[in-house]
Amino acid sequence: MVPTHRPLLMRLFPSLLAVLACAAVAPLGDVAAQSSPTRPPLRPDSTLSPGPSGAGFAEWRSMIAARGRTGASFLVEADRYQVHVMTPMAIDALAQDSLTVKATRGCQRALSLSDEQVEFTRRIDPWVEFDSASYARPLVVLAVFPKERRRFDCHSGELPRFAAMSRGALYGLFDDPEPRTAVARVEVRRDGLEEFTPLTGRAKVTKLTRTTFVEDGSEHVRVYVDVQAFSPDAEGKVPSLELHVFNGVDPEPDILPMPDRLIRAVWQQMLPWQARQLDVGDTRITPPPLHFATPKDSALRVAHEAFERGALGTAASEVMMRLMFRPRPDQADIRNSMLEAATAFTLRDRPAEALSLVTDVMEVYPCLTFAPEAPTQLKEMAEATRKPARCTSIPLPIVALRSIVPGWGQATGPVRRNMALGVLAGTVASYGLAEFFRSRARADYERYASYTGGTTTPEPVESMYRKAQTGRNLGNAFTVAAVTVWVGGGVEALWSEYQHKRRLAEVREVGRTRGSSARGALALSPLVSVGRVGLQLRFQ
Amino acid sequence: MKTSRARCLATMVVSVVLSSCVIEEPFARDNPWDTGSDVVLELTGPDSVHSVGALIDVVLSSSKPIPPEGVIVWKSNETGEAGPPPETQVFTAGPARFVVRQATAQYSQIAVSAFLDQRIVAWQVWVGQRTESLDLFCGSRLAPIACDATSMAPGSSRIISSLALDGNTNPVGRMEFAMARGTVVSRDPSVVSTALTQPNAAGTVTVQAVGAGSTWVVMRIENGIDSVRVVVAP
Repeated sequence: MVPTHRPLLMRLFPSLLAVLACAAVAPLGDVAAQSSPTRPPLRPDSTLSPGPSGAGFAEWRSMIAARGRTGASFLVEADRYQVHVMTPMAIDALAQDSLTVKATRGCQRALSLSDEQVEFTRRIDPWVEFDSASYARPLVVLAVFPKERRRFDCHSGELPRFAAMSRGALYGLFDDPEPRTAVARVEVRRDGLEEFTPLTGRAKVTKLTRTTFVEDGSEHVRVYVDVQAFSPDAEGKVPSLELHVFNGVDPEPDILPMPDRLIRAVWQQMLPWQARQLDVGDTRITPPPLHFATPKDSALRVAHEAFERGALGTAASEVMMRLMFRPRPDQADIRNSMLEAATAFTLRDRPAEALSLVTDVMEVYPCLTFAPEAPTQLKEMAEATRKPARCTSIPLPIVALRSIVPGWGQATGPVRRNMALGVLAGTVASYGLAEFFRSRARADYERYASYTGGTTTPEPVESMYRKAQTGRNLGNAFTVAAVTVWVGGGVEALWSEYQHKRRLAEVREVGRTRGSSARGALALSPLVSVGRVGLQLRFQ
Repeated sequence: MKTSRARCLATMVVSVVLSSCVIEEPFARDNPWDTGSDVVLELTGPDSVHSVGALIDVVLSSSKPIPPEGVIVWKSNETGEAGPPPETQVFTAGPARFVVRQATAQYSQIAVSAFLDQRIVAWQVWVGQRTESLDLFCGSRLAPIACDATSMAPGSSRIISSLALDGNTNPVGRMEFAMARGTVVSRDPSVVSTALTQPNAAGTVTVQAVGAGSTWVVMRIENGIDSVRVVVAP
């Protein structure tokens, strides 16, 4: 339903309210209010030119849109406001009218809307002129809305919901508009300094509530900011990005900090375009010092071949574009391709982009090390972004031995602490319960065996036996459970360590040159020597 | 050395843990008072008793020893029954012992039982009176006379009374059942005939004079036998 690729970074941030979205096309309705000098206008006052960093963006963007939906939009919720963040790709993906209609139709029953009302939402699109004016420049949209009192999650999925939101349509119950909740003006501040916003605008909010649409004068504001506002600093750190939302009454704004992972995700989404820029003005062939395995994915293989022959810009661009779309390639392919792209960015002196990629890779592979031939800068990036992790392996016999103590086989690092405690607790608890039930069963059986008639107890002798036997059965069941958890924990520990060992081997000295990368492999080659002709099998 | 010690330690730990992790067998269901238990209980005793006052001693055997303090309730047919008491009554006379309080010549099958709470073990005994001694006489019991003291005329008939006793010298009741098990014969059928005799509750024998002479009428019931002389005069 979300027809986008999920790049590595996106996989790492599942909790973000991220959805592919499409902005829409429809004429702006009645524009009654006039913009004041301090408030954003209702119509764009100019059409933005591509600018030095946006040459060819419009063509690239339309090419991406033609390939399929991609990009993600995000929702950040605060006390009084909510911010909808959209990249250009997300705007394109959310642009279909049918998505908005689908969102309304999903809420038709909950809100008791008529079919005419559902169809009417097709015509809501106050931003078409702004999107058109900003089409040629790589800008990220931040739309600030007043918050609903209660939101109805009745849409047919997140994609239609965000599509409707990109047109200013909200679904739910709303408070009466107040000056304090109205969005009058928005500033974007990066590390405390105000960012230039090439385009700002405002539009009414269409509130879809029970049986009706409400247009009570509430407005939302969009600011278009350059994608560079999301770029990491020289050290690779995510910048501090804040929205200052003024309501026209209070002198001080509401400050809405953007989550780091959102900033990184937006930057990540724009990396394909950044990669595209590599070859602009620098098309030289640069033989790469690192060599990675040939990917299985055909598109990545094309990028890999470009990388091998030194066309770094093409390679990085192809990699990033492939990673925008589904199906997701093999994990090793993703890793190697991202490292190829990072290498390309590094060699083209674009450390910010390279660092972004290396950070993502290192987050999943904290034990990754580059081959000695790797550029120093790349190695430094890996070291700087390396997270604490156990990058050594434990011999499997030792793990087996440790697993005798339940959970100790798992206690190989902080990441597996919960697992270790779980195995320990599960085994001990199961065994404890088994012993409890067994001892109770024994006591019950003693009572049964010593009964000599005369109904001295209110309980029939038959039920004494049943009680004892039930206790024993429970004890046996918990014994089986304890042994299962214990043995299963041991097997899991062995398997996990085996996998860990394999992963370590995969990411040790990645990018070694062809000559040295064959280490540890079997090689079959012709053997011709004095007196002998044949094949030789070597273990390297 | 270090490795072997570790192996030894690991083996010990595993052994200890595994030994305590065995799956336990189901408990033996061997309480004799449990109706669902596997213990086989059997009550045995005499097949039959033949006199009022006779004791019935039974033996309760079990595949698992029954503890001496175990509570066993012994019952027969004397208690708990509504309506008139049966002609045959067997009472409990102590642990594993019963006594015949009432019986007749008609044998009845009586169950004597051991109750282990809800578990019941029973033994069936035939109870009745068996004739051990028999006395024939004419006249009444209070004033008996010799049957040959007066002669009979041919064609006339005479009633001969009897008194049957069981092993404990109790008069036998329901003599018709005893007589059905006995015989009455005339030594000389040309003098008197016993053809008119039918089993009856009073235990009497009816003889009919046929021809002149004298002869013996013999009655045998089980272990009792007696005879009287009858004279027929023309």
